[in-house]
Amino acid sequence: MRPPCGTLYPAAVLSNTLCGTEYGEAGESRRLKVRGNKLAPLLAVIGGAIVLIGAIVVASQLSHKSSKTSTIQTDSIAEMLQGVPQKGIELGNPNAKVILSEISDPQCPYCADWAREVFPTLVQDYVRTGKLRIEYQGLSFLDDNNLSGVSKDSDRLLNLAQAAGLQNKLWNVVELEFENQGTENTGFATDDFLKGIAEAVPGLNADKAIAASNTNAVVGPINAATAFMTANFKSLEKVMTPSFVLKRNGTAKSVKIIGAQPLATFTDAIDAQLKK
Amino acid sequence: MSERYLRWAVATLALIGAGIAGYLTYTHFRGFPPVCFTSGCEIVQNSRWSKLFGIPVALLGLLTYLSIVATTLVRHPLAKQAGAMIALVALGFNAYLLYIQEHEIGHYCTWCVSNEIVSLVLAPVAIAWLLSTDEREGTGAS
Repeated sequence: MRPPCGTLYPAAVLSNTLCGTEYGEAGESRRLKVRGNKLAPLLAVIGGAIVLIGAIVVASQLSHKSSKTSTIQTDSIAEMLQGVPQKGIELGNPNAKVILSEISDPQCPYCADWAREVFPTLVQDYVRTGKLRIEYQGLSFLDDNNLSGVSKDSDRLLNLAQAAGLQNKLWNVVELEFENQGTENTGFATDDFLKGIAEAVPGLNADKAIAASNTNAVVGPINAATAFMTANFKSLEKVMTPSFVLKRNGTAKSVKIIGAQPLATFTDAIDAQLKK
Repeated sequence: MSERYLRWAVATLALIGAGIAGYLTYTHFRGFPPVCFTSGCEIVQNSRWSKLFGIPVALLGLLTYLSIVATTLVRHPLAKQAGAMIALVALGFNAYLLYIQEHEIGHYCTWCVSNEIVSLVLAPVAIAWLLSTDEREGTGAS
């Protein structure tokens, strides 16, 4: 470090120092030492950062490792929905006092979280008891048209769900798709995957559903879901999936629940509607 | 540039980054999409890449930037080293997130890209800060 002019320094230092300038071999040695002193922590910082970045990236890759499976995981979805009336996009009593409309994309991971963590309890406590009807307003907006190969996973999953709705088995397919959801836009919704889903639904004619999923028969409910979303949220940019619209049957006034909120948010809102 | 100005620059950039990350964290927990010129923000925020081991990446970013701000408040060579290292890690992780947006999600979140630009500027400034000399410390990095 250079001393300012006028600073009193010991003779040993002054011998190589004049007004902040160091001269001679000792001064050169000192400059090299200072430079070394600065480089050492810089190298340590860079080295440490590289190690940390590597660790984070590896951890991220491991935590997002594709959940693709060769066999469809059915868990207890069929059991959960067994005996619950279904008609098209509707699940539950047609005359239920309260209606909950779910806006979601079949590739959306938060929608899958909600399907696993909240949906089963709502079915058990409110749908089975006839108090609540849930409607599926499925959207397809996570498909990526910018990637090479053009992924159409959302479209394919949504089409199959709506095709199953023609046989009143939409909810079984939707829940199975969430249960077996793969990594977005990786093309995981292959023909085999869709066939596996369809064949795992009791009472669904899989071949018929897959055939219908490639026809205009599914366009109507998909357009209706888009219209529903627009009517409630104006545009796709203003809705986060999953989003929900809750209302009493026969009334227009509704309550919106945005995001995969915890169970209590839904039970509180539904209970409030039931008390009205 | 003097150590003092570099310290301020690091703190200011980190606060800008914290502001962006804080806004994304807020929208995440409030459950509404961030204000965005495209639908990319919502798609990226909805993607599985928006969380790391169940923790929202936006929250991690907020904590990271606040940590950098904290290092600028402590006048010690180790604080500089910690600040510079965190800034470099933030830059590396943001580069990774940019790669994910391009190759895995296929959409860009303008807020995320803004944060990536902040980290791109912040890292070299933090390195310059590390190498600068604080008169109170003696040598800047020891």
